Amino acid sequence: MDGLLQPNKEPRELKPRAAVMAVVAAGAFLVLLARLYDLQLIHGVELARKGRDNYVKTLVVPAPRGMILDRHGLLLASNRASFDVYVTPQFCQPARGILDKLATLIGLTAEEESAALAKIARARGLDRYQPILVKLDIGRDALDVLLANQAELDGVDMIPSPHRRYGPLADEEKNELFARMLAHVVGYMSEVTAGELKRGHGKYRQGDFIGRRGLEKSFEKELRGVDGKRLVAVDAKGRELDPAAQKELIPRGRLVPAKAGHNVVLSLDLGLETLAWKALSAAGKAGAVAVVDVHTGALLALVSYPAYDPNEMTGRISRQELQALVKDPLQPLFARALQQQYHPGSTFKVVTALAALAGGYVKPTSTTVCHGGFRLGNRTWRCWKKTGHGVVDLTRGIQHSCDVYFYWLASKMGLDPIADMAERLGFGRPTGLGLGPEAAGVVPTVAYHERVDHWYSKGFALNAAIGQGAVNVTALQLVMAYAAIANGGTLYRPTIVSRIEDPDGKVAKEVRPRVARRLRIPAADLDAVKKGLFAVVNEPGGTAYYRRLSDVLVAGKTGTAQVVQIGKKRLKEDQMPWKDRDDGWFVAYAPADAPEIAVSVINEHAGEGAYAAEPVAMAVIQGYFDLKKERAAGVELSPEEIANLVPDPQYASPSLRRLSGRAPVAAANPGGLPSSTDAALR
Amino acid sequence: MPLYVEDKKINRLHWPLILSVAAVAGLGVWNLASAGRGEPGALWLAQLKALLLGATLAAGSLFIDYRLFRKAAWPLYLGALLMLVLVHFHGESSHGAQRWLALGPIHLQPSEFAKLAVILLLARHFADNPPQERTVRKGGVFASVSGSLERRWAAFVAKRRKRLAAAPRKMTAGRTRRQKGYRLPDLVVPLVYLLVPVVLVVKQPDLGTGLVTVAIGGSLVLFAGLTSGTLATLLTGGAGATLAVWRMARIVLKTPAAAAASSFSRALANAKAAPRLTPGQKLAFRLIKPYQAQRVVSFLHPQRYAQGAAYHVTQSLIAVGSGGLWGKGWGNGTQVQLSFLPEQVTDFAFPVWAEEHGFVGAAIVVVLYLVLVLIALDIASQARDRFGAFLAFGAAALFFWHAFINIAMVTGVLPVVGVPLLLMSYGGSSAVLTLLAIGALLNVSLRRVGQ
Repeated sequence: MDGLLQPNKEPRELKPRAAVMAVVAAGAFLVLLARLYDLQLIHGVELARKGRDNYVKTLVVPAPRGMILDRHGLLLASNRASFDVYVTPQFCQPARGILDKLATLIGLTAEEESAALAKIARARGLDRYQPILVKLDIGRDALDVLLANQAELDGVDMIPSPHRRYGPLADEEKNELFARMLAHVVGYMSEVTAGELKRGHGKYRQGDFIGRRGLEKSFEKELRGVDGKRLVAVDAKGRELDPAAQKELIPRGRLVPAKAGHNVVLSLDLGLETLAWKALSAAGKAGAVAVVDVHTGALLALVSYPAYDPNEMTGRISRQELQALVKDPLQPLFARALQQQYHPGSTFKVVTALAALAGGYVKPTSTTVCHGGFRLGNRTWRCWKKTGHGVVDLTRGIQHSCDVYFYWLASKMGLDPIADMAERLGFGRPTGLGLGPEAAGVVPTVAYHERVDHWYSKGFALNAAIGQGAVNVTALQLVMAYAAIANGGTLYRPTIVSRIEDPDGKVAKEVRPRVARRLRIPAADLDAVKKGLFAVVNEPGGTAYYRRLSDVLVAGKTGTAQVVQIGKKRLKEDQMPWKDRDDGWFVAYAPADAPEIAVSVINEHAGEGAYAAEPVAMAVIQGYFDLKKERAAGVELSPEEIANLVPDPQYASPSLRRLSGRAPVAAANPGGLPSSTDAALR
Repeated sequence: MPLYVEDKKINRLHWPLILSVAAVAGLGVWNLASAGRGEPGALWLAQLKALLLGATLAAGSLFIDYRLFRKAAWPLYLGALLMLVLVHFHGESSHGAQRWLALGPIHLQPSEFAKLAVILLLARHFADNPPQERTVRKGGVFASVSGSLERRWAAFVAKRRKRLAAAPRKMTAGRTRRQKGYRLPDLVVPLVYLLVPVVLVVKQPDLGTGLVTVAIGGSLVLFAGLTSGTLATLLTGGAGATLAVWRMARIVLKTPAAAAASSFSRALANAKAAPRLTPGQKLAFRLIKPYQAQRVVSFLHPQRYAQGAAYHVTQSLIAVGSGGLWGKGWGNGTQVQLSFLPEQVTDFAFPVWAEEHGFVGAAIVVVLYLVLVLIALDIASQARDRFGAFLAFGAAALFFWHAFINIAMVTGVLPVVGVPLLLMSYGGSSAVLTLLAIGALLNVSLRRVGQ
């Protein structure tokens, strides 16, 4: 115990130091208080907002996109419930095992699987709670499979997301027919690009789809609604809290409902479109059909064949499939009806005829004589009929499609009057349908040839008179021009949308017929041409006589446009490469006495219009009146019934036989072919 | 063993101390009941049990005169070292560090124990070795530094101009005085006492406890008294060390190996594999781990690391700040209850309190801690002997540093180092040992001067 409890001296000197320390401690704590004051009272509101941002998650409620309907209310584009598959890295463990399982269940490609695994591996920190998209748009069946196996799929979520369905049927296989025939009208959608996101001013978000082509693109503004939003309270792991906590933490504004987009109602008739598609696809490899109401310019059918499947194009398509589409020589991504220009061939002869009548160069009764050729300078322009047509007036000239008659007209007036009339009839510039870019076509003038070819001679006028040379038109221009002739001289701008309705079905905007121009062609001139067009179909010797309809009077014009210059020796049609064969045209209106519709058909490289295109047009016309009769009897065709419609085989068959390589049954192929002219002369 | 209780009257106990400790502990348990709602089991109950155990032990310790503790200093210190070595080999891991030692049913954190052992041993050392009186230059710290510079400058000038040769001696002659204080050689032994356990603690790694232990040791040294020259040297050295740590943290973060190397050994392995590492980089890697370096750097650039190293601070600032004046109410803190705040029952218990009880509640806690520190300093200054004074001052330093570092860290004033807030953070070892320190304070006060 020695000195253990002896107080060691001098604790006094420590006293002042303890006082200093007390001051230091008080100062330090004062700093802490100041900091708390700064954080809680000065920055309190701002930090409280950050705290709110922590637990308030904003979910977008996508607005249902407006639907696209045909004239009878059948769905051409609508939204279907579908599901996207996501995985959340934090909960998806082991990631590889679960993704392998997913791959076997819903058929992920190796590419998709490794991409998802790479994204999972990259996710760090809070990102591990962010779901990663693995597969877009799985079907109902795949969803059922996943739901049945959910116990083994940790961290896998199936998020409902509406996807677009093109065509009226839920059954994908049956629907594909509709989807394809509508592809070039309705178009498709795809994900917004970075540039569009920037320009969209917040209207679009990453991952949104935007209309890419056709109506989806032209009417993007009307179809797209306004997205709503939902605020949810979540914990630090991103899990939603229970409803009571939601209400307490976010007392107001939890839901801003989405506003659905407007519906676009078309003048298109799905039944007629189906018939036109089927008739054309049975008759050829590629081509276009346009059907228009002659009194309004409203399109009833618009077929560009072949086409792609817009359901595939909207998101699901793989890189390989897209490559195949792009490289397909038949160019299914190309909307032929408006984007492809062709030589119109003999269908252009009505323009020449009207030009000559309007300029007073001839009267309908004026005649010339066809010996099988027309001599100008030191060259002979051949008629398609080597033996000649004998004495030809306007009606006979159109009826027999006598080239010499039109050479004669052209030699009288030159090129410019023809071009003038062509322009009045709407050729040479886009029709303004509004479905995206259109080909303008070419209407050559003297000036045009001097500019392009650096010379002009009357020979150009002779070629132009029969729709060859530099003349180029689209199927849509042609049908609008014939409609103008049929309705007595009003050229309409074609329309395909008849009205826009709000989601409740109220009409938001009515599309009125739009007149492009009044032709102001004397009725007598029009009647003369119409008489010729009537004779083509309905009088013996007319080029379309053999395939006329039994109960509808049709007036129209065949055309066979040569696409390559004729060499020294011409091969037979079936010996030529497909791409060198003639394009077949038929343009018509019906009924001939009181026209309702005009139809134009181009069947690419399928040979003469009378075989290749006329049956298609006749089937469409027959179909139009059949459907009209059904409708008048009160029958509403369901999409399934429409899918089963078959164009009258009587009209499609000759062409079909031609395609299969056998000789046509009707109308002998004109024998020896012209060898020394530079135009096809039938 | 005789008991030296000189006066058994209960009112001689330091009741203000007991009440403020009870108040802080009570608020702490109340706070844990809110913060621990997301955790399995009732944490607050476990904390309460530990506090009751600690209080019982502390009350028992009052019957032993604190002057007997002096004898126990060495055994306790050696015991602490032994436990620290044991925990290195047999410890339980958590958060990548070996900190817990299982002694039967008791899970002990030897680093907490070591803190008290260091206080005890240093108190004993400074008590037994009072400073010697020495001759020093007048004028305190500034004069000692400037005087030295003056002399050197004068000598430099003298070499150039010989006629000024006598001047320096004249200037300093007669300006000395007698001063009592420790000098650097006197500090070698206490430094060894301090650093041996600190190195073991930092190796666990538990940088926070190591830093607090160093801070307490440093405070004790300052309290013991230094000569002004020694003080100046130490201050300069401290500033230099801070700069060095900062520099090394930057080096560690900028070295490419840091990205890949998440652990010490891998960093070294990489250092071997990559001959491009300079000796400076190797040294930095040896001393500082990437996660520590990141904390230091992220403290100055919180935005850059918002989801990474500074996530803790960001969420803590949001929690504290969003409390506003009155707070969101017990159990209503969104940062707490939705788990945005990390480590909310341990190191980040204070933000829980600040979020739910606002500036008013937070200020009350800060003031209570200040009261605790001031009472402890008062007890130190009234102690009967040097040992008691150092013991009480050690307890004061313990409270001060824990409270200051923790609150400064959760409010973004200091970088994040794992330092718990005594009596508010959850932790059994900490609760028991804290109350034992309070017991020691009461003991010193019970047997204070004039009693």
